[in-house]
Amino acid sequence: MATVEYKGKTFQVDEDGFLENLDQWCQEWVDYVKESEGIKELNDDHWKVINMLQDYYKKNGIAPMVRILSKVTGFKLKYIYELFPSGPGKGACKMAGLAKPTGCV
Amino acid sequence: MPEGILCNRTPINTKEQLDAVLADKGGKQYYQEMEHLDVDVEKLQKTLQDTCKSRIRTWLEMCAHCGLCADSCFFYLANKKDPTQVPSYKIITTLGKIIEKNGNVDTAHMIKCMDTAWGKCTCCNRCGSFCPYGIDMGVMFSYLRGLCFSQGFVPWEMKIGSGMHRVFRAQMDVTPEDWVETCEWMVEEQQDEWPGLEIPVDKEGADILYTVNAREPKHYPEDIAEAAILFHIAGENWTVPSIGWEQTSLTMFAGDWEGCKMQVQTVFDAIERLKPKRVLGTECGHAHRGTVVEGPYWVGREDGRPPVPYIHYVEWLAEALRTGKIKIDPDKRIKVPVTLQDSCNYVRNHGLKDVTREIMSYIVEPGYFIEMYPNKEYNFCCGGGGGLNGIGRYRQWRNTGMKVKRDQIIATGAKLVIAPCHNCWDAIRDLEEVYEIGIKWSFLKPLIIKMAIIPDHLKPQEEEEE
Repeated sequence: MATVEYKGKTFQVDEDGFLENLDQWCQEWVDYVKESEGIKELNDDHWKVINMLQDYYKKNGIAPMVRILSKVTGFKLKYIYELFPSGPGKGACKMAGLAKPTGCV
Repeated sequence: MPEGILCNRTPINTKEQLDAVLADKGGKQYYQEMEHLDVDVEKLQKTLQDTCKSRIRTWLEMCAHCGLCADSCFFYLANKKDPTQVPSYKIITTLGKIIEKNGNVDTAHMIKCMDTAWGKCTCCNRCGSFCPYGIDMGVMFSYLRGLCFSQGFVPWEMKIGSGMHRVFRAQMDVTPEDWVETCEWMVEEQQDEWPGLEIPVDKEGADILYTVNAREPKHYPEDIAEAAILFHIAGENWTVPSIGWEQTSLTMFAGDWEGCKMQVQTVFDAIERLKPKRVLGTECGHAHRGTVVEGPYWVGREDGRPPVPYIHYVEWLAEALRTGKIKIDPDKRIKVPVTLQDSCNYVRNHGLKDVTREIMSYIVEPGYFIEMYPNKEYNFCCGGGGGLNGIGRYRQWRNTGMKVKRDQIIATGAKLVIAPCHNCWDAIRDLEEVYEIGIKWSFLKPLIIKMAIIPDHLKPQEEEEE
C-alpha cells in the first residue's frame, strides 16, 4: 500500500493517490492536496464544497453527481472549476478525502 | 470456500449488492475472497461448449508461434520485450490452457487469466493487424474476459461497472431523472452566453438523437453543454432520450455478456421509440464500439447494424465543417504543435481514420499538425483502454505501458494532444501527471467552440446592441 508523508503525518493512499480511508482525513491532508493541485489559498467556498462532498459520501458511499454538488452549494459549474481546476470528480474529491470515483473517470 | 459474499459468480443486480461491493474500498475483501473462490468446472465446461466455436479453437491451433505479434503490443515494448508479454504467449497460456483442459483449471489459473486479460491487454486489437494468419488476440481476450466474469474472476471496478449498468442502465449511478435535470441545468447555466440554447428531451422524429457517456452527467456536465452549443451553432434539429441516453458499456469491458445486451437494447429501444433520422454518439471510443460496432450483434440484429445510422461525433463534426454548418475563424485556428490520438475503438475497429484528419485540416493552422508514428489503424493504444484506466490493481502495469504513448507524443514535439475519446483523454491526462512531459490535452468540442464563427442571431442581445 502506498503512503504519503506530509508535515509529519503519514497517509495511506490508493494507486491514484486518493485517501484509503476517510478517517485519516485532516487539515494536513487538505494542505497536501492543495499544494499538489496548485491551489493557492482555500476560501469558505472551497470548504463548502469539501463539506458537502463528505456529507454526501458518508451517507451514500459514493461521490455525488456534479448537479447535486451545484444544487446544494449554489455554485455554478464554472465557479466549481475555478475552485478546483482539475475538476469536481478529481481534485475536489481527493481533497475531501473521498475514494477515487469508479468507472470511466 | 465456494463463493464469497462480495466476490462470487453472481452479477450485481440490486442497489444493495452494489452498495456492499462499493463499500469495500479498493476491493480488499473482494480480492481476498477471490483467492478462495472455487472454479465451477461444470459451468465452465458448459459455457465453453455453448460459446467456444470453431473460430477461436482454430486460431489457437493454427498459431505458428512465429512471434510476429510481439512488437505490435505496447505492453511488450514498454516492458523491455519481456517474452511473457508477447500476445500469442499471453493468450495461449490463459485461454489456450482453459480450452486444452476443457475447463479443468483451478483458482490460481483463473486469477492469472484475470490479471492477463485486464492487466496485460486492453483489447486494442493491434496485434491482429500483424498476425500473418489474421488471428485476433483482442477478440480472444474479450472472450476470455467473458469466461472470467462468468466464474466471478473480474477486477473489483469492473464488477461494479457491470452492476451499475444492470441497476441504472448506465456505468454510473445516474437515473433518467438525474440525467434530464442535468441537461436542464446545463441549459440554464449557458443562457447568458447562449440565449435560446436548448437540449430537447424525447423529441420524436428529430434529425439527430444524441447519446453520451455517463461520466458526462456524473462528473463532466460541461461536455453536454458543449455538445448543445455546437448543435445550436450548426442549427441542428436534435434531441436526447430521457431513457437510453447512456452509450457506453463497461459491461463490454467487464465481459458481462448478458449486461452488454441489456445496455444496448436500452439505447436501441430509445431509437425505436423516438424514430430519429440518425443517432450520434459523443467523443467516446468504446461507446461506439459497444453500441454501434458490436452492439447490434449482441441484441441479435441480423443485419449487424443499429436500427438507424449511428455515427461517431467525429463523423458529424467533419460533416458540419465540410458543409459549412460550422465555420472556423481562420485567425483562431490552433497555432501550437498539435498531434492527434487515434482511438483504437473507432479507428482500428471502425475505420474512421480520415474524418479526424479532415477535422484537423479545418482547425489547425497549416504546418502545426504533426502525426504520431505509427498512426491511424496502426496507432498504439493510449495505454489505458479496455477498462484499464479504471482498475487500481494494475495501476503500475498501466503506467509502464503508457511509456509507448509517452514516447510517441514526445517524438512529435507536440504541446497539445487532441483526444476525441474519453478513455484516451484520461490516459493522456494521467500520462502527463505521471511523466510530466509538458503537454496539454483536449477533446474536440471545447476547441471548436473557441474558434467557431458565431452567427449574429445567436449572440447575446447586449453584444448585438454594441
